[in-house]
Amino acid sequence: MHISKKSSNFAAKSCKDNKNEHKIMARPIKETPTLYGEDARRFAYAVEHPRKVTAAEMQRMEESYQMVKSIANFAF
Amino acid sequence: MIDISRFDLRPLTADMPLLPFCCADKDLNEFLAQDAKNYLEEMMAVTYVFIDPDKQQIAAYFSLLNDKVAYDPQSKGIWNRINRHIHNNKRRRSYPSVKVGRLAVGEEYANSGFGSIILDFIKREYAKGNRAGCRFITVDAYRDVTKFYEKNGFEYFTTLDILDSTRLMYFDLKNVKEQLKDR
Repeated sequence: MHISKKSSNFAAKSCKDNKNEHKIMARPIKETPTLYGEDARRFAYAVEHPRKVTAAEMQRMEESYQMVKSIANFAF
Repeated sequence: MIDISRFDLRPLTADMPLLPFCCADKDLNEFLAQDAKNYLEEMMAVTYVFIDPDKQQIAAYFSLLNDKVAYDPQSKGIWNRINRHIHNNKRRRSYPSVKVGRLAVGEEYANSGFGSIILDFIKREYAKGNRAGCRFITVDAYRDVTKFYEKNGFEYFTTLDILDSTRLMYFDLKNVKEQLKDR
């Protein structure tokens, strides 16, 4: 309860105001669970029938890739 | 579409001073400020930051970690169907993946296509340029931005997390790779 109250106060403030606030951990990154039952069956179907990628999507992907690569100061 | 050519992209390092970052979601602000370096130290995730050199602030960031997508090993029927399409020596019960643990765009740069540029970069990078096998991009998506991931071709793993604060989604790189072969 104490944490959530602190959390809601935190949310009401702007980023600038947050700088000197109490440190609150963000939500942890959720793990991908093993799929069971209907979820597993649906996923198996999707694996067998991967979504088609359009030429326009590929073009956009390539442009984004080149753009990001050009500003990276490291070998990704 | 935003022009990102004036930004610098670099991996977050333990000794890098954190420039200001502010997006609409306080949890994403806190992740970068409090947790990203801990994930790095523990070798759990690497965070990449786009720096706006003119304003000396972080324009966007994303965190990546290795992941896998696994099926229930009891479900033999499912495995038989999948395995028919995989050579004997390559049959497996899980697929290697990379997870976008967090992705955030600063308020000033939001709604400009920046998030989609980042996702496209990751898709293209892992579809062709990766040095290890990777079939899927998975994401732990905040519930209020799942539409953004849907628009970028991501699908839901399950309906069991429909009430959670985040939802797990995936993007299949298979056809991206196939199309890259033809280029």
